[in-house]
Amino acid sequence: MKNALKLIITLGLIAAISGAGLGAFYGYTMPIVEARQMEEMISKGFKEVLPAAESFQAVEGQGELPAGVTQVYEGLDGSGRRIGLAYEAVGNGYGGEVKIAVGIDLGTRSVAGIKVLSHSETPGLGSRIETDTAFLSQFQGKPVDDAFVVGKDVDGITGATVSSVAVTTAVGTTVQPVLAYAGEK
Amino acid sequence: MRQHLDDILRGLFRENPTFRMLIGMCPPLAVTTSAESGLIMGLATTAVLICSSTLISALKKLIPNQIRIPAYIVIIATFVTIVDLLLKAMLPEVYKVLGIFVPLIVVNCIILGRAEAFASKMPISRSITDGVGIGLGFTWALTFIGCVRELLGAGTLFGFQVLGDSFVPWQIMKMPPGAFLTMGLIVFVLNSVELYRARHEQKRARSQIRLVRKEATGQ
Repeated sequence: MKNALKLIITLGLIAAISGAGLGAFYGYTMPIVEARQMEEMISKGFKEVLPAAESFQAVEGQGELPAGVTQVYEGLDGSGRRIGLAYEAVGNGYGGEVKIAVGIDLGTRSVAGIKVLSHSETPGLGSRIETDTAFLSQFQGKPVDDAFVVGKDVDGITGATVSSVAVTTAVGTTVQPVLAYAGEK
Repeated sequence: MRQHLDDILRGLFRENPTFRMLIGMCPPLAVTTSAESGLIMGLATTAVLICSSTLISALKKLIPNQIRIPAYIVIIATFVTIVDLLLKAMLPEVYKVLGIFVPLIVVNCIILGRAEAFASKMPISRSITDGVGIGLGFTWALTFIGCVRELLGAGTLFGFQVLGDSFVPWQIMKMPPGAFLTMGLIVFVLNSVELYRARHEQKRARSQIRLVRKEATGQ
């Protein structure tokens, strides 16, 4: 009994020290990782979907954000005027989540551009949502009040219907709520 | 001091984990698509190995025998998580390539193997040199396989173009079969050399014996 207690205490002690150490270390590295991800998101994603914007800033809006969107950013021009919105949306593809960056031009009230950030779709079929310019360019300049339905106002990619729908729906279902959230309804 | 030097050399060549002992075979096959990822993976494993060997050796009298394996695993997992977080924060590009294989260092049998077979019995200083030797042996093995695969699969070395434009990359070297082919051929060559040396040694020993016999019988 005494022996068993000793074993429990020893192992518990090792685990506790390890846990405490890791906790402290995590606290040290996490801000670096987050800052970098944020930076990457802006430079690789938002700059491409909203090229007119000079800088981006997080928006503190009102109400609920649509599912899959965690943060909305406003694109500012050189004089600091809000000219567009950019955010990350998530669609349900064939092989899992499809993450896309969406840019909205507030001047023309249309989608400025979209970009697939990450996906796990079938290589060669669904993966074309990332590269097929004919598909992606349909969203450029598309009015925010459109239906965003594949087969109706958006042409899907042959052999990649599920993936095309995932992208289209992810954009279509988030555009209006994001506008409302940012007070641009 | 001699022992320490021998520990390092032993890990680098005589008991190279990848080419001689053939243990911890997952990273050499999975992450050696380029020389750089092989090198970083090797260094990450080396860092974990040295740290965990040192700590385990230092704690060997405090850890009761019955719970030594879970205790080792907790210690190893701690260092792996630290390395994982560090890579994620400092070298995000490399981290993307290595991905899941960094956390998997926890179950790399080289590390638990050295803890159980060496660090838990030896003084701290020798556990460190053993970790350095085995770790660097693993590192050069991974880098070497990575070099071969990158050179033939893409015509580059550490990202720099080495072979001319007329070189057609061997796609297969970048894919999993390429790892098995490379690994198999390297082990084949090393074993052949070993066999040749052993035969040579045998022959010399035999002729020596003959000579001694001749002398003993007074010719």
